[in-house]
Amino acid sequence: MKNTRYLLAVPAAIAMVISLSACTDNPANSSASSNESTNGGTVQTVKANIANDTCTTDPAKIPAGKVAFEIANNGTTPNEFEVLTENKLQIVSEKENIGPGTTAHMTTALKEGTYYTGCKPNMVGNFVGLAQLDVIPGENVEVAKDVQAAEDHAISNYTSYVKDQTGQLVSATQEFTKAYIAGDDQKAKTLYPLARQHYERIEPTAESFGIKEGGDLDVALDARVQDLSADAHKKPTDPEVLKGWTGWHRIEADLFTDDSAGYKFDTDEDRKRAADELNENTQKLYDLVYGKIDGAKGKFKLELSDVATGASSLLEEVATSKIVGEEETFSHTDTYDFKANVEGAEVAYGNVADLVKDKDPKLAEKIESKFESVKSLINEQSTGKDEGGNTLFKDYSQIAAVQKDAGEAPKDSDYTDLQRKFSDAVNALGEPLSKIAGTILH
Amino acid sequence: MSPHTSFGDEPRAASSSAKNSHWAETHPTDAMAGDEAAATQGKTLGFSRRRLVGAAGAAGLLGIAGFGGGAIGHRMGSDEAAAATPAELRYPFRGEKQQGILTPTQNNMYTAAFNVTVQDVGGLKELLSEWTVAAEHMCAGELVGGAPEGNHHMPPEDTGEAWGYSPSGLTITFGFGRSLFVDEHGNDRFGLKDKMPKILSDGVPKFANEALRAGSSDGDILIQTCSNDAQTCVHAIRNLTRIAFGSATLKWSQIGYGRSSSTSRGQQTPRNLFGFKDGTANLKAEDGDDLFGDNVWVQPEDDPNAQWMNGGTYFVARKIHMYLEIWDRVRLSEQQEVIGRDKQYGAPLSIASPRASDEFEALDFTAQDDHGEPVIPTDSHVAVVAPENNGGHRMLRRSYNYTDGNDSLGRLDAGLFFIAYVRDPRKGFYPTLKKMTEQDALTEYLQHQASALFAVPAGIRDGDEMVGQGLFE
Repeated sequence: MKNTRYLLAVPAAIAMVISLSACTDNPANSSASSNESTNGGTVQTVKANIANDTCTTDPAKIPAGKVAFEIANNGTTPNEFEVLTENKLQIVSEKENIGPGTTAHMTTALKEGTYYTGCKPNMVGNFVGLAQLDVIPGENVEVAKDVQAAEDHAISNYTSYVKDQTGQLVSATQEFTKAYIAGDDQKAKTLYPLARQHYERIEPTAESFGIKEGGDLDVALDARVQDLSADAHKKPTDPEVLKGWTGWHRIEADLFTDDSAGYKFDTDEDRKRAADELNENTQKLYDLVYGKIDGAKGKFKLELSDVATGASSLLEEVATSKIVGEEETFSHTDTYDFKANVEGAEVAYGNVADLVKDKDPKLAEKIESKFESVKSLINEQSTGKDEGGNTLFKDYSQIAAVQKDAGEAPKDSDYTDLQRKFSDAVNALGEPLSKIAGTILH
Repeated sequence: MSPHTSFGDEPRAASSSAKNSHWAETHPTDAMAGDEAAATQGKTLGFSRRRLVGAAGAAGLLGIAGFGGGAIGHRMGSDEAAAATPAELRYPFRGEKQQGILTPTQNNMYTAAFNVTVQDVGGLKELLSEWTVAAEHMCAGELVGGAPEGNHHMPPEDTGEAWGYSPSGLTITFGFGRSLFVDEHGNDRFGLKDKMPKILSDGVPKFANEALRAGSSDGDILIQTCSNDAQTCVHAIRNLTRIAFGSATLKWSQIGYGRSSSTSRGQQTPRNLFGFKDGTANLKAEDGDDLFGDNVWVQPEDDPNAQWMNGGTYFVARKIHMYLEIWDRVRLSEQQEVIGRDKQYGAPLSIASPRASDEFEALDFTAQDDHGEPVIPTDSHVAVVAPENNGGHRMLRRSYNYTDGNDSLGRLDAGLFFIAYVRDPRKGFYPTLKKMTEQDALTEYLQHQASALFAVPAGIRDGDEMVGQGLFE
């Protein structure tokens, strides 16, 4: 489960994307090279010539559409070239650190209007050679239709994925609880992390759900006893705390601890009640996702911003609770969740990858290579596959310092090299992922 | 706003006329800070807001002009320090030498070492180039990456905690460690092995009484930030760390306060946590080019394989834990004998009734007391480390006090983050340190906990796209 910040952010983000998607023919801030598949038509070339004291562009009047700037730095300092809006306040496009004696390329799309170009020697201080660039009526900037289609496609694809995972979650949970209720602990322990992966892949979406208020379903399904006990100012094993604790981790505590820990259910009925409750709430999630019932915010509907921020939210999950082993305190199956979070993020990214590639191919390249490093690091922890093809992992407490039985968190000095590697790889992926929304929601 | 009239398109003064002075010439906003147009731009485009809030232009410009006057630039000393308040100071990021070496020691330091994780030299150069651009922004008092309001869907490029702050004399200094050139097996990492200076290759020798922690020693790349505002330093390291995600990871970092040395005659000698004036005999910017050429700056004849280091220097640091609780129970006369100086004024013990003016008096190691014993004990700190007792070798000290909280027994985890800039640590620094750890009475109250050695290339020249460009040419 996660904090409420995400939940609060969702309505605002959705509102924003609605207004933005209406004006996708304004590709401000796109500083990418041309992509003929989404942008047909001619490309106007503007030559920019930078010297130490001047910054000239030719021609100064161009028709609207795609513009390819060829920026030659003939000065002696590295320089920055910018295209500004008419009020000279907003940057439409920029290219930093153009070395002396080199030529840089920058392609952007400009609508009709007045713009300014200017240079900044050594990337600091005032503009040099600010000059007016008039964009006269010309070819329409033909991005609207294609981009809209790509966005719709991304949303519908991701929605299908969320539905698919929710469906699988329902049956996997039923299978897990069946073994659990039947007292087949060994089987239940094996099924626990595998069933949860379906949830972990779509967690940011699931987190936003509620019947009464956003997120209450996530609390019912995925609450950690540490959080509940901290809120109640009571010990994790306090009867009061245990009474209000439902979901995956309640069963985890019963299944993976012995009597002395204080989490075991007294009777088989208690077990069954916990299992039934988990199934009911999972079914509720399914009904919400499939639009059979309305959630706190009405009918389930994903927006492009959900897809765009979904990937980085999943990485946030990994960074905050998986790496430090807080998520699966009793079962130490954190690596399964970790893998699922990353898989979910990759799917979310995959659905908008073309949009990102179009706007910022370098960002896309970075994201893809960083996904590879995280994935290979996770795969290194694998112990093989089960007959169903599911990847199996070592007990996380064997490879990392973890919180023991809802007790005190490990000291900073206890963290292992592997945790450090995980953390570095997740940071390296999380940074570029955080740029997706800003790159495509324009 | 009508085109061409408001700001920024003033013709830029010829910047090729004088090295190091292009800053002043290209920043007319300082002189016209009251101009409404400039203020508007500052608010909305983001690049001069820190300047507008903090720095009165004239003082800043004076400082820079003074700096630019010297060929090497050590003359940025007392006059300029007096002319600008600590917050108003702004040093040019580019120049013949990197800033943060001879720059009058600022009050705060945050130094960090990074390990590079990209595998190819292209990735390394890209990182250095991104760092250089960001460092230049920050030293100029601008936000990294420009206006944060540009895109509401993007996390702002600048983390924002220095937004509206003046640079407070921020300097950012880069260095390269041995492990950037070769991995632990001695393999060439980026095709730079042949250019590795012999000094890095040799490494720092082992000394007595050290319990070094590998995790907080050395590293691939060093970034020292110094400023008169602690938050400005933290902002710098934080943003550079963020830029590095995916290319380099933070290996260790150290926050220092209460500069524990002075690098200019205009500065009062500060005190270390033992309560003594520290670094009285330190090299000062005013000491002249010859002394710096001999002791600090690498000369062309020093290392034929590492010509890119010409004009650079070596950064050597030792994190020295001080047993403060023990020291504080030592009687004053013994404290003074351990140091070799008077506690109040810092005057040599060879002066019988010292006054404030005696701090810089010469140490007389021949002076004897009534029993014929040296007044400055032979095992006192000054006797052991004084240049005159160490072949005349000098170093430029740039140390800071540190306090990293406390240990579980309630003792302060504090001491001195000792930094020296030297031309060749093998000549003066190592022998002196060896002697110190073996003979210095002070050693009883110290423990060396971390060690770091980095090659600090010369300054970032006007045409350079990145720090240390010479290494890749």
